[in-house]
Amino acid sequence: MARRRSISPQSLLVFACGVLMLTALVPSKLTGWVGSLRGPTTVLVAPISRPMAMLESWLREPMSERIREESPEFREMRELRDFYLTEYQRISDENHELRQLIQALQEGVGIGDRQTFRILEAKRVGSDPRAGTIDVARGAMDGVTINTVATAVSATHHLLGVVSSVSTKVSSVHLLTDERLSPGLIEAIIIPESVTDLASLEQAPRIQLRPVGDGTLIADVGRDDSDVVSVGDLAYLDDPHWPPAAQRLIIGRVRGLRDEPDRPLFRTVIIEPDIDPARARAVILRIPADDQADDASVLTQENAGG
Amino acid sequence: MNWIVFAITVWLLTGMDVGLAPAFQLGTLPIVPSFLFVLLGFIGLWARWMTLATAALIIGAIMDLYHQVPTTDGADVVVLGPFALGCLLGAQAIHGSRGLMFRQSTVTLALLVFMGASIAHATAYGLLSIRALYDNLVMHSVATEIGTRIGSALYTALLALPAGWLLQRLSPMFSFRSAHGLSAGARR
Repeated sequence: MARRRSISPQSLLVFACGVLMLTALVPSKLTGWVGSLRGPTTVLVAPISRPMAMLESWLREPMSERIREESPEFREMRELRDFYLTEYQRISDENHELRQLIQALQEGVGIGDRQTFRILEAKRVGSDPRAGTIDVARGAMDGVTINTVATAVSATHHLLGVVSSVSTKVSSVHLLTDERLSPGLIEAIIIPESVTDLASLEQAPRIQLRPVGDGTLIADVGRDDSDVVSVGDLAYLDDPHWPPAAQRLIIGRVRGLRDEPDRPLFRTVIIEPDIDPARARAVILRIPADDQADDASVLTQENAGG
Repeated sequence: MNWIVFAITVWLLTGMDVGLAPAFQLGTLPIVPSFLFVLLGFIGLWARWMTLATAALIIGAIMDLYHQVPTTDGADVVVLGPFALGCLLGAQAIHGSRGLMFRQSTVTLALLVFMGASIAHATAYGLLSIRALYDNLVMHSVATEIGTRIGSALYTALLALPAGWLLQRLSPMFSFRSAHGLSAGARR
């Protein structure tokens, strides 16, 4: 009678190590399936991680120190002003787009797709400061896709990041302040406090921001342009590499200007988000509305600003 | 070892790692402790080698699932293996050193946690760096990675002092049986 061979635990351990070595070293194209294991694991630990995240949010305010120092009345007024300034820019852009559309129609060119999106609130269920991401409780089932834009809940015109991985019920938002965010440079415009007319808006200094890993973003600005920039000015995203839903959202506020002794023609602008993306209690996701979902919890609007 | 108690503890500690990370974050630096490394160090003190190795692979695999790596195309990917293999090597180092130490002490646990976490981080960084040579992974600079990972290991060791003390109190529930007949929580 043939003896049944049993597999020893040592052999199993060696086999497991071999498989793990393979999944660790084989390129992402072949090991993409591994990512599908993350969603169920996140859902499994959510009953613990979600209350912990809420407790953490309660202990530490997500607002920047500068904003925390403001009185509630002043903060409310400033938020309103920022909101209307953002809206003004968005409507100016839309107006420009419509003019182009009219011209295109007059020339017989087909109408291009106009960007529409719906907004959806998503609670934070976890975070990974080392990867520069937060996990939120909305996933592919809710229509979230890679590159979905995430904004703050308390101030929906403040950009927080962009979705970088999606599973069925959970997705990860790569934060704006992480230095490994791709693309590494973010194009933005700085609108000085005093600017109120469209002509001046068009001449606003354009900068290329780079996250430095300490919660701020920096950019070089020419010395002439830096004369019109002052502490407290807002920086708005204006980058074709970012999704349309992110355009003209607030990246942050000028925290300071630094002279560079070795580059006398430039100064470094330091931008700090008003709301620390890593500590946001929840986010608003701007989901491209290709299919108009009929969900009571979903607000639908066209080119919504807030 | 009682695997049900292990599973429940892993579940709780993973939730705490994921949910409380920003609370424990050192300023704006990406230096965060991990409760799972404390558990690894604790099991490393008392469990038999095969039990420890299995637990290390499970703990490491869970860490791999959580620590995504950014890529140049903007998406994040899960890389299964670096932390799993790192935890296995860390567990081996803990297993080899525990005989020389006073196991009931929380300070011993903190030291072993630092050693295990450092080895796990070094292995994970090494494997990810190799893969970044031909894959589209985005890594921090060498100095940032080393500083962050050593800082996280040190921070985890500090966390092991209170968390380890609590785990030592709960050790009878784990029902460890070592090769030498010693068990966690045993009093002479």
